[in-house]
Amino acid sequence: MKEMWDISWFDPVYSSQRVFRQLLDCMARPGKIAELRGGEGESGDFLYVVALALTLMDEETTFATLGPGWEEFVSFCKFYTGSRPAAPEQADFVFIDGDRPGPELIQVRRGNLLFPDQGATVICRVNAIYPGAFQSAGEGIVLRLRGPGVPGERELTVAGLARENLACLEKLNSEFPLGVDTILVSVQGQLACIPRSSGMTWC
Amino acid sequence: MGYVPIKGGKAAIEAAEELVRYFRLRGGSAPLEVKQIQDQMRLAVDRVMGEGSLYAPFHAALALKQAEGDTIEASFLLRAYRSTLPRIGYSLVADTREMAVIRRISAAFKDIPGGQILGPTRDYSLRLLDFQLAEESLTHIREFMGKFIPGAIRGEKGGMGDVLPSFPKVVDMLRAEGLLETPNKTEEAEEIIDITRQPLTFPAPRAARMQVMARGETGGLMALAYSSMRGYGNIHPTLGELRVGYVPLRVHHRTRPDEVVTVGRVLVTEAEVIARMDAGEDGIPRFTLGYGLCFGHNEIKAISMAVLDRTMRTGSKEAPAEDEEFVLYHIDGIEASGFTAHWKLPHYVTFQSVLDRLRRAQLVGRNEEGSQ
Amino acid sequence: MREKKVQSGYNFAFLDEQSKKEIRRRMLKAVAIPGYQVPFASRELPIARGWGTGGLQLTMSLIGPEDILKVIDQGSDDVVNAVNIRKLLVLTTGVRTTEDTREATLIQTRHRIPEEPLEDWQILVFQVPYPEPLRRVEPSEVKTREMHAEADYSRLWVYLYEDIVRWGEITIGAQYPVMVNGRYVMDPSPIPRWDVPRLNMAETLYLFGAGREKRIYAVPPHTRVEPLQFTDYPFRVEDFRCKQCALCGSVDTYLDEIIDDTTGARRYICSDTAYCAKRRRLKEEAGENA
Repeated sequence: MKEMWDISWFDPVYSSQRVFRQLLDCMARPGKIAELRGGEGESGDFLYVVALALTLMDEETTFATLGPGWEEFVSFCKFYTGSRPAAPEQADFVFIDGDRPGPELIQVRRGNLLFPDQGATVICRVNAIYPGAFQSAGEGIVLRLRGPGVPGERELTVAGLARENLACLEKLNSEFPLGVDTILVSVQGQLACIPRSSGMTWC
Repeated sequence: MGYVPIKGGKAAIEAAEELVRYFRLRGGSAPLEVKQIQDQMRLAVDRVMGEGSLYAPFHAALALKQAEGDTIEASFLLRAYRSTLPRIGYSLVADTREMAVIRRISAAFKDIPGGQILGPTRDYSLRLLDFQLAEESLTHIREFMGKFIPGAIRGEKGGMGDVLPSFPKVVDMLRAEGLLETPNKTEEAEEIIDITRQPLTFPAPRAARMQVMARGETGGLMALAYSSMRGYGNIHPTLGELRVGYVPLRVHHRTRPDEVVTVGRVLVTEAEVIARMDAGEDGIPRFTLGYGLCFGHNEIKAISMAVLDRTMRTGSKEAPAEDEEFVLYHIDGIEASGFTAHWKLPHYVTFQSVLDRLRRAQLVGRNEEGSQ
Repeated sequence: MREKKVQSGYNFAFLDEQSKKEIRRRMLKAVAIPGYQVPFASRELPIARGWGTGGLQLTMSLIGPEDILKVIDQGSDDVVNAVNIRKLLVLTTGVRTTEDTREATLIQTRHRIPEEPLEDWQILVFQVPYPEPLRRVEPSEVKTREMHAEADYSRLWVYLYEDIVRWGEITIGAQYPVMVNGRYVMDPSPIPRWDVPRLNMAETLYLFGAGREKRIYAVPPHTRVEPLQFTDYPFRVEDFRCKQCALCGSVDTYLDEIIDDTTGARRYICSDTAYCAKRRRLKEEAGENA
């Protein structure tokens, strides 16, 4: 695992361009999975969350983290991105651990009808993401997405995502175009998106 | 296979660029030095810095040379250059009470503390073409400077000495007497957005309106302000104070945040217009104020800004100058000129599509006529 | 690490990284709310406002060293404005360019969708002069934004209805308003009606950039895009019946009308010049082989 503060592996021009294109592809095709990892099989608790922060955040943005364990990451973001910490209901980006039910999630900004784009982006850290319905030993939730970007229905399996959080996201997105857009990122570097336009069921 | 109208784009562009260069140089005169433009086309440089939204006299002068004197084109060059520059930081709020003044007048009072300082102005000169300028030589310049400078150093030439004076503000006097509206608390509490980093949305905060106007095209601002002064509106401005001078720019020290460092100074023009009275929250009538400030020496722009600042706060949208959307969407010289020029681009596809609709409508029309 | 300054002093893809970040954040929101216009700050570029600065800013924020770029205007790769935009992008990125639609990963366009089908690994970026489809019935941005918020499109429907009453047809040529995902009415940019059906349930991501008006919007793949129409006055594409391309013989492409200099005769040629050339080449090869 790489030390969080060493970001020499992340090129501000080319790495952020590559990560963004993967994000865009996944946001346009909800449930599609991209691999952020560079090839040599790295994984780390914060490695890929850091990659997303460096790609998306700067002085013009605010962020919040929900739950314990994010303290060092907060200092990291302030230092490297210039983004400012804010309360969950005000932040542009909200970071949450998928497996820890976070009741504060329900307060996250959904935008308003004039400016629905002011709804927050939720970055949810999970253990693993697999394409299709893949339920080994009962670990993981199978998500089924429908809507723009999905031909018919797309399935994916997410390990380390509490049902309470899913229910919360569903509730936040129940009044389209208001809502939040979710980026799932695993500690192994898999990436998938659930924009607010997606209909979602799970089992 | 005959006529294909759209090939050869690259060669055509290169040839056009060569022709532009040729047309600038074909007169055979000595090349213009950027320094000459910077010194002697002072007001054009100032205008380009304002509309180009970048305080950079050398670059503005260079842009003017490149644009053959077209201020909108020069401002556009400067703005495009600006896009490539990183934002290093934000300066602290500058207080124009500290301004080192070269010119300062009030139309509201005959006598103001510190006095009226005409400074460099043509306001009262007869607008006669000066044919002597056609013969101006270095000898003439030396002769003039030889006489002017010693007097200026002795302080005889009003405000042109080594140390420029600063003055209290006229509106502060009015405010102290309770004749002027008090600053709006909610406006002061607003976080100042940067319109080059965050999108402009409506209703726009006053800070955003000011920024759009400060980058606005002088002629565009003037036309709208003039429409209000002439009768499409009911503001009746009096020029409380107009001042031109240098204000210091300060920033927090990068590594020692408690320390404030002066990094330079910029020439600005500031206008404050006193406008018709309005009843405040306490029901007592007071004068209202319109404010304008722009880079460089550009009095028409600062006054127009101040008038429009006031008209946009009228609350009604009866006149064009009172509608903030109308004003702010139409005063940017770079946007307006770009779109006006874009009609020169090919529109074959859309025209073909409209042609199809017209022919169809004609067909429908003829059929109807035939059946009657 | 790769050399960042591709051309004397300028950042990769011209824009500074902060500007790209902002535009990227807006693009993600645009994709998440199909057809909704996301405001953005919009930078000045060395190309004039109204000449494709919106599309360009999207392309600059999207493009990477591995991309293969195609730029077209009016369907053609060689129109002056397309040449100019391509020149700036190549100068500041050094990417490979192509005229072949089937090879390009990133296509920037003004007024057309290429004739050949686009796939899921491609992105099409549109240059947009007027992002607001309601502008023809309401000049105020504050009011049109409210109309979108309430999904109140009645005034646009009345406009279309009155058009029919007056002219017997909807007279909108290019830039035909569409309903996206059943929620937002959207301006598809001044593409001909011919191209409108290709927006519906496509494989490709479509991104729209309006630089002067400072708006970004998107149509993700597999998204419903329906032209506004009445059941008794259905939407119709341009009529090229009995016409064919004078160069490649195509009868199923959008055609430009040409008036011959000398004879004054009217002829038609493909608006998508790269596709036209490809067809001619294939025909020649088929002829040689036969």
